[in-house]
Amino acid sequence: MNGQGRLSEALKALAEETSDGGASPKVRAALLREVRRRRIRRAAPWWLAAAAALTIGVWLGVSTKQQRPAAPEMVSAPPVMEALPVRQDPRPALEDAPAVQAPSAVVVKRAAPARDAVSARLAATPWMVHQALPPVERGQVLRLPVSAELARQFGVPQQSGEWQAEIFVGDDGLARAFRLVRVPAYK
Amino acid sequence: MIESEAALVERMRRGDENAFEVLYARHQPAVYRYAFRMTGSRDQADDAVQETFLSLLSNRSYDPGSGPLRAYLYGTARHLLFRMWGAAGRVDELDGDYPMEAPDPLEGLEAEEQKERVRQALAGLPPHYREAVVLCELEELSYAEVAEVLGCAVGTVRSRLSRARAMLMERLSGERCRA
Repeated sequence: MNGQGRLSEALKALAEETSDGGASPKVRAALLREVRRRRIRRAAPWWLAAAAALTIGVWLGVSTKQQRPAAPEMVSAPPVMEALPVRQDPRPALEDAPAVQAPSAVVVKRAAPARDAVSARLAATPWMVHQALPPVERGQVLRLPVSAELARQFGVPQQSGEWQAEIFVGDDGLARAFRLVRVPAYK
Repeated sequence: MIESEAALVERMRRGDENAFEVLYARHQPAVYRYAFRMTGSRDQADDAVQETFLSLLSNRSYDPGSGPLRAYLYGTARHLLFRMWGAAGRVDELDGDYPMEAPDPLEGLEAEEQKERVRQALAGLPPHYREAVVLCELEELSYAEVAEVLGCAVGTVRSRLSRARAMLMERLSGERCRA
């Protein structure tokens, strides 16, 4: 065997010697952590949105229960004719005039809304901040469409356009503040 | 049906642990061996494996159409090692003939001693020549595969390996003379 042959043999022996083994378990563990982190990061918008929606749902439920304007109160009123002062007509009444039936009137008294109505010119309602939660330094603002009915319950006048809810969600996934924003403001 | 490596990479990037486990089990040993044989250090080989797979996780530069994943991983590990050494990306191809039939520097040595001397001589080669030996002789990749990893022509791989072997012989001879 010549020098090149011996070199090849030695290289082969070296290859066999270093063919076993692999990276230490800590490398695999570190990479696995990174893979999991990516899965959580990707899944975050889902659970964040779900958590926000849940929190908002509970919040809105409580808010509307506490602040919902009272339903129109139906009050029977005495006939209007009776309430009117007696007419002092100098002319004599026509004896053959038909008798007037006094209408039975209904007066509708609407209870004052719990919140001031939002001006149709305003672009957003004031922020409503959840005070009971611990403060956070960072978060995200989510925008969700809201129905006209829901917007109306927060004092937004009807016929004022389309509104969206802006929800500030802290890094812990809990909604901290809420307001309604008129959609045209973004267009 | 065997899932393509590109699909596995995509799943791994989405956080699929099973896809990661499959790819890691399939390619980690080769990347580790390559890095260890190039550096002689298990810690540096660990670092190279970690950085290589992190790059695959986060970097969108892997294009399945441009070649097999194995070549991409070797190439990434290689880039990391060269960056670590601060070596230039280009290599000055050595000209001139090397004596291929010089006196045999390994003659008369025990196998274990031959191996040890070759290990030391290999560690002393310039990186571009060392990797030709590591990839062709130790990793047993084909010339075409090595060319893909190194980003050069097959002919360049052949000539670089030939010169690397000659340089090894020269170093072994020098070592023998000093001994």
